[in-house]
Amino acid sequence: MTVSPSIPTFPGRILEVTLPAGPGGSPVVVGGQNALPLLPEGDHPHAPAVGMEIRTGPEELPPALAEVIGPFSGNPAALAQKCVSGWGARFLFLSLSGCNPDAGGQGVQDGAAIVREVLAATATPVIVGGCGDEDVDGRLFPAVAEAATRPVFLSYAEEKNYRLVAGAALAYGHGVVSWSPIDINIAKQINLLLADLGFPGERVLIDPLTGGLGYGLEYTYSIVERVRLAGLSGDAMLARPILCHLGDAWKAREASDASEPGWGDSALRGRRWEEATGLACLAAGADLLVCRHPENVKRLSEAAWR
Amino acid sequence: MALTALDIYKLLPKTNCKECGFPTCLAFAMRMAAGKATVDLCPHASGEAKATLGAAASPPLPKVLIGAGEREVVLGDETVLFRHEKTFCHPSAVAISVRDDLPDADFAARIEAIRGLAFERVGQRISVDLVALRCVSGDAGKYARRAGAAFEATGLPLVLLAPAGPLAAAADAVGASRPLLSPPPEDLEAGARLAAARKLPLRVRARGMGGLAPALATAREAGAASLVADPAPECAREAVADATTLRRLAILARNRDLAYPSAFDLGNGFPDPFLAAALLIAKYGSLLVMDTADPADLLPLLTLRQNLFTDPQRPIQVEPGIYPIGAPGESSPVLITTNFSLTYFTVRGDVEAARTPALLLISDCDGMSVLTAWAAGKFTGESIARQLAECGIADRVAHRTLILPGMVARLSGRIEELSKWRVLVGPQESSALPSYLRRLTAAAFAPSRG
Amino acid sequence: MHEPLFSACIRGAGAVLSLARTTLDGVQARRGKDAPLAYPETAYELPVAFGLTELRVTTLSGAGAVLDLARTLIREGATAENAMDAGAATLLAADVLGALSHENGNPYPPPSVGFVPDSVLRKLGIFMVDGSVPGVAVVIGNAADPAAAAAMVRHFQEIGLLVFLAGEVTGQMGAQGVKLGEDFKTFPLGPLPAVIHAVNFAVRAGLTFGGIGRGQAQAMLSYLGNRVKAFVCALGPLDDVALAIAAGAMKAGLTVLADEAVPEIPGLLLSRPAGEEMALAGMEARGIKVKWVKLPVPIAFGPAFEGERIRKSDTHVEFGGGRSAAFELVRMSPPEEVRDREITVSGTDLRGLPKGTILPLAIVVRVAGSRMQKDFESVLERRIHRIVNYGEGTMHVAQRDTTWIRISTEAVEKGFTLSDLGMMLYAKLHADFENIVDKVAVTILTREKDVAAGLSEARAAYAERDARARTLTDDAVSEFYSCTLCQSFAPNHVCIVSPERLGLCGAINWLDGKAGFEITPTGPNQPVEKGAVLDPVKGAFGGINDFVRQHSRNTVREMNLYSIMDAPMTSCGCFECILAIIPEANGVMAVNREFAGQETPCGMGFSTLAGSVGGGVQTPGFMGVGKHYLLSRKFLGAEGGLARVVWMTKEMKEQLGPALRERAAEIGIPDLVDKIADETVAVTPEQLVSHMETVGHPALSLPPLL
Repeated sequence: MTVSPSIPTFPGRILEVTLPAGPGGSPVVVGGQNALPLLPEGDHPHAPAVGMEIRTGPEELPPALAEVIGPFSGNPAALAQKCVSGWGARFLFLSLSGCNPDAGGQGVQDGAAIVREVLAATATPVIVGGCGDEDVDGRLFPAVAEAATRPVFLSYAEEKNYRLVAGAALAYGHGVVSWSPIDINIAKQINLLLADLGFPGERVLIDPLTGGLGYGLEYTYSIVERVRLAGLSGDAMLARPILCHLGDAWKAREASDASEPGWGDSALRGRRWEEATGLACLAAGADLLVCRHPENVKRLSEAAWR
Repeated sequence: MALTALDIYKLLPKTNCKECGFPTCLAFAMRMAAGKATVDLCPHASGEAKATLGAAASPPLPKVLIGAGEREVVLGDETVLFRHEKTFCHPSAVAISVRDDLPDADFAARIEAIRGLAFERVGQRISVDLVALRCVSGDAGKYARRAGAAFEATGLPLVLLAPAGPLAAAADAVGASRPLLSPPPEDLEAGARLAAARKLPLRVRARGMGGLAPALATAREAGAASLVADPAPECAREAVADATTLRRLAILARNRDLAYPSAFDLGNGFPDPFLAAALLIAKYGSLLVMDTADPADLLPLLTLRQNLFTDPQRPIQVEPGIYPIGAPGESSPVLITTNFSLTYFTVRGDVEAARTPALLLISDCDGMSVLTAWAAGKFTGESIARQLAECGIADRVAHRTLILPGMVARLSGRIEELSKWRVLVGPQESSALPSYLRRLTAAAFAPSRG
Repeated sequence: MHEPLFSACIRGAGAVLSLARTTLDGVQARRGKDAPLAYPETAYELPVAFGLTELRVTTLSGAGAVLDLARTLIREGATAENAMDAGAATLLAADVLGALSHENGNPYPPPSVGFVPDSVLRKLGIFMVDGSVPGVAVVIGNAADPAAAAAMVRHFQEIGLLVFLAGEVTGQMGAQGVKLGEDFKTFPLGPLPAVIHAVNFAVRAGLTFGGIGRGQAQAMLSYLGNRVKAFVCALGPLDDVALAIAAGAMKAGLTVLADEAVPEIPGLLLSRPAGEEMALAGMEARGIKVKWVKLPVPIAFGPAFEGERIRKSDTHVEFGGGRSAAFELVRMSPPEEVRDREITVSGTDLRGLPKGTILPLAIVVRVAGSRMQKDFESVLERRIHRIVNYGEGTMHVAQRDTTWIRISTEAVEKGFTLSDLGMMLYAKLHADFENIVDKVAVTILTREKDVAAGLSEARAAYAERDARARTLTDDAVSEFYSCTLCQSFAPNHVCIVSPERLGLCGAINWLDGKAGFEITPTGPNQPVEKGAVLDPVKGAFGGINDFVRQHSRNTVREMNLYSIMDAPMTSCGCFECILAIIPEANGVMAVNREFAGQETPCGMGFSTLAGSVGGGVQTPGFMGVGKHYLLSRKFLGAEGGLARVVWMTKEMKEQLGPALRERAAEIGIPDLVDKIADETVAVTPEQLVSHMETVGHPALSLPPLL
C-alpha cells in the first residue's frame, strides 16, 4: 500500500531578515522559508531564534524569575553579558521600560546611555523597545537611534508613530519591528505604510502582539498562523519574519501565584507558563521568540528546529 | 464539500412535525449543516435522505469514543487544519499514566494525584481526561484489579497499555467503561480481535505511515472498527510531522486507510515530553499519554489546550459581575467594561499594574469587545445604568463615580441621566489605565451625599 | 515671454561653471590633482554629484570630471528644458565650489554654518519623515523690507519648518533678532553661494531617508519633488547666478517664489510679496499642512467629552433644535476661492449674552483640496456632529437644517466664542480628512436675515445632494468599495458596498467607502472594479468575484450581490438584520438585531440565526444585511425583490416607516407592507402561510424559491 501525503506547496517565501551583530558576534538571520513551521518539507534555511528580554525599569519579579535574573536588577549591561555568554540568548530585546514616567522615569538620555552600555557589553544583535509612553517614546527613539553604535532594531512602529520610528531607523541604518494589535489587516497596513515611506522590507519584523498563555494566546496563535499563511500565499507585505514577545506570559496569576496548593511549584510553573506560550508561538510560525527565563532559551531552542 | 442547510432541507420531509426537537425542518437543517445535529433525530427521514445525510455528515476524521457517560472522551471528528478556518472541536485528550506494579499505597497515591489534576479557569473546569494503566507486572489478574481500582477511584476512562493476556483480563473487568485497548505492536492481532469482540476502541501502534498502513489494515480485518493511530515517533519533531501527516491525509486527501485520530505515548522515556505535548496540542495530537502528574506541568498544558480549542467565533465569556482587584475599599475606583475574555484580561492586567485597588464591573455583552458591543447595542447607557442599579455595586462603595472606557465616551451623558452616577471618561486604550488611575485624586471618589 | 529668463539662467550657469573651473584649477595647481576633496562629516562625498551622477568624487581630479559633465548640460537656446538642465549644471558646479571652500572647515564667520553635517541631517530628517517638520523653506537674497522678511521667517519657525538662509538675508535676520541655530531649525548658511548647502542637504535626505542609491538621478529628482516639501523664497533683485540656482531648484521640482516681478511658471516660479502671502503660496504650492497639537480654544476638546449632555439648566446659548432657524453645510469650492484658516463670524457672538439666549445659526464650511470630491461633502458634514460634541461644554444633535447646538454656561464663562467653534471645525476637519482636504474656511452667521438667506441656499444644496444620491446607482458607477474591517474576527469576510447596497452593518455606504479609501489608501475600504457584468439580475460581476476570491484567501469563489439563494454575500457578524428563507411561504423573513424573541416562522430568532450565518461563510437562503438594503431597487433582484418579504418584525417595519411604503408603491404593490406578517400575526410557517393566503401576499405567486 502506498501512502501519498498531501504536502501543500506555497508560491510565496518569507523575506530573509538579518539582525546584525557587533564585531565578533553572530548575526541572527531568520526568514527565507517557503513552508509551514516545524515540518520536514519545503526550505527552512534558518531556524527560529530565541532571545532574552532585559528591562530597565524597576519591577517586582515573579518568584520564578527573581531567583535567576533578580541579582542583575539595575545592571542591564551585566545581564546582557550573562544572557549571551551564560544562557545562550541569540539576541537581546532591551526594553527601556525605565524611561516610562510611571516606572522610574529615567530620562531619554539615560535610556540612550543604557543602549550604548549594552551594545558595548556584548556583540549580540539587539532590539531596543520603547517605554510605552507615547510622548517619551517620541523622543526616546530618535535618541536611541542616534546613540546606538551599531545597527539595531527599534520596537515598535505602529500606526500612530511609524513615521517617527521609521525616520529614526532610516537616519542611522537601523531596522524596525512593526506592531499591530492582533489584527492581520492592521499588520498588513502598517507594513504597507512602511513600504510607502521607502523603508526597506529586509529590515522589518512583524510583532503581532503576543497574549500570554490563558490570557488571549489563542488570538495571537491564529493571527500568527494567518499572517504566515498569507505571506506564504504571496502577500508580500505579510511575508516577513514574526517576532513573539513572551513577556505577557509572566503577567498571568498562574505564572507567579505561590498560594494555590494544587497548582504545583510556582517556580517551575512560571517557567512552564512562558515555555508553553513560546511553544505555541513556534507551532504557529514565529521566527523570533523573546523570553525572560534563562532556562527557556534552552528549552525553546529545543523546538526551534528548521 | 459540506452540504448547505438548504441542501439538507430539501432531503427532509418538510412537515415541521417538531419530533426532532426543533420548531421547523429548516431549523433542524441549519443545526445539521453546523454539525450540531444528526439525521437520526428525524424519525420520518427517507432511506435516501439518511444515506446521503449520514455520509455527508461523516467527518473526514472519524470520531472515536472512549469511556462513557459524563467523562466520555471524544477523539477526532475534526474538519479543518487551522482553527481560524472554523474551529477545533475535540480537545487533545490527556491521559496520565500509572504503573500496575506499584505497591498498593503508592498506586492509590498516584491515582489520587491524577484525580486532583483538575482546575477551574474562566468558568470552565479543565482536567486530565484519562488514566493510562501501564502493565509492568505482566500479571493479568493484578492488571485487571488495578484497572478496576483506577476506574473506580477516578471515574476517568482508561487507556489499557498491556500485552494481550492482561489486556483481555482488564477488558473483562472494566469493559463496560469503554477503555481504549492499547496492545504493543506484537499483540496487535489479538488486541484487534478483542476490540472487535467487545466493540471497544483500539490503539494501533506502528512506526510511521509505512508501518501504520498495514497495521491499521490488520486491525480492520480483525474486525476492530474504532481505531486510533500511534505512529510511534522517537522525538517531538517526528511526532509533529506524523500528526500533521495523519491530519492532512484525513482532511486534504480524504484518505480512509490512515485517517484516524492520533495517539502518542509521551511517557516511558520519551524525550522532552512537555515540549512534545505542547506542540501536539497545537498540531493535531488527539490523545497524549504522559508520565508526569505534576500540576506545574499540567496546568500550563491544559490551559494551552483550553485556549486553542476555543471556538474562534465564540469568544470565551467572563461571568458578568463585580470583580475586586487588590483589596478595594469603599472609596476605590469603579471601572466598567464588557465580558469579552480578552477585554477583561487586558483591563484587569492593566488595573493590576496600576497597583490601585479597584472594582471592575463586567457587563453582559455576549462576549463582545467594547466597541463591538456598543455597535451591537449590547453596551449602552441603558444597560450600564441598569447594571449599576441592580448589581449591588452601590453597597460596595460610598462614592458614585464610574470610570467608562474612552471608546464609548459618548455614553457618558446617557448614563448620568439614567443613574445617580457621575461618569469619568477613562482612556481609549486600556494600556493607559495605570497612569490614568494613578493620576486620579481621592476627591474623585469622595462619598456621595443624598 | 520666458526667453529672457531662460537665457539668464543659462548665462548664470556658465558663470558658475567658469568660476568653479578657475577655482579648481587654482587649487589643483597648488595641491595636485590627486589631492583629496571632501566636505567635512559626510558619507556622501559631494552629495549633488553622488545623488545625480555615477561619478565618485574623492579627489580634485574627480571634481574636474563633475565639471566636465556639468559642461555638457549647458546648451544654448532659451528653452525651459535647457534652462532647467543649466540649473542642474549650476548645482553640480556649486557643490564643487562649496567643497573647495571647505578645505579648512567652515569658511564663513559665525553665525553662518556653511555645510550642514550628516549628524544634523539625520536628527532633523527624522522629523521630516515623521511630519513634525512639515517642510523646508530656503530664504535667499537681500530683503527690501527686513522686518517683513523676519516676520515671515518667524512664521516658518512657528509652524515648524526647517529654514535655510543664504545671502544678505542671513545678516538681516540676525539683526532683526530672529533666533538662529539648530534649536530653532533655522540655519544661516552663509553668502548666496552657500545656498548649495541647502541643496546638498536635501539630496542627502533622499540618500538617507529615501532609500535612493548612488546615481539614481530620476529617483532622486522624484524624491526631491514629491517627498521633500521645500520651496525657495528669493528676496530682492535676482541676478543671473541667482536665477541659475533657482532653475536648479525648479529642476528638482521645488517652487521658487520671488518678491520681484518674474514671468511666472505655474507651480514652479511665482511672484509674491515677501511676508504672509509668500509663505502661504509656498506652503500651498508644496502641499505643506500645519498640524495642531493642541487646539487654541479655551475649552477642553477631545473624544472624552463626546457623550456629555448639556441640560437645559446648564445651557447658556442655544441654536436650532426647532427653537430657531439653524443649519450646517459643507461645500466644496475651487482652491482659489477658499482661504485656509479663514474663520468668519458675522452677527452676535457669545460674549456677554444673557443665559437662555436662543439665536439662529448658519455654519458654512468651505473646503478645497486636490483630492476633494463633491460627493464627500456629506461625509464631512456628518463629521460636524462629532467635532462639536468633542468640546467640553458644546453639544450637537441632528444634522443639516435640523441641527441643534447648545453651549454651556461654563464654556461661555471660559471665554468660548463662535470663532472657537469655527476653529474646532477647521482644525479637526483638516486632521480627520488630511488626505482629502487642503484648505478649510468656516463662516458662522447668527443674524436672522443672513441665516434665512443661507437656509434656502442650503436646502437647495441638500436637495441637489439627495437627487445625486438617487442617481447614484450600481449601474451608473464602475467601482464598488470593499470593507474588510471585520476580518479580525471573520477572517474571510469581504463586504462589497455598492451605491444600492450599503454595508451589512448599516454604517458604511458607498460614499463612505469612497471617502474612506481617499483618507486611508491602505485601509479596509478599497475600490473594486466591477469588471464584466456576468449577470445583471443576480449581481454577478467578474471584477467583484476576483476581488472577493483574493481577499477571502480563496475561500469564497464567487458572490452574487443581489441574491440570497445563489452564492450570496458572506456575513461577518455585524449585520443589522438577517434575512432567512421560509420555504413554506416561498419568501423570506427579516429579523432585526434588537428582536429578542426566538419565535419566528423559520423557527429561529435573531441570535440563533446569527450563530449560523456569521463568521464570513456563504449560507444560501440566509444573509445578514443593513436594514436600508430592503429599500433598494437592487434588493434580492434575483429572487423578485421586496415582494419576497413575507414576514418582518414590527419594530423593523416601524423603523423603515414610510420609506418602506414608498418602495412598495414603486414596485406597484402599495399595500404590500400590510400584507407582510409580523410576530403578532404569525410565529410559525403554518400561521404565516394561512395569513398570506388570507391577504393574498404576492410571494405566493412568485416562482418557487427552492
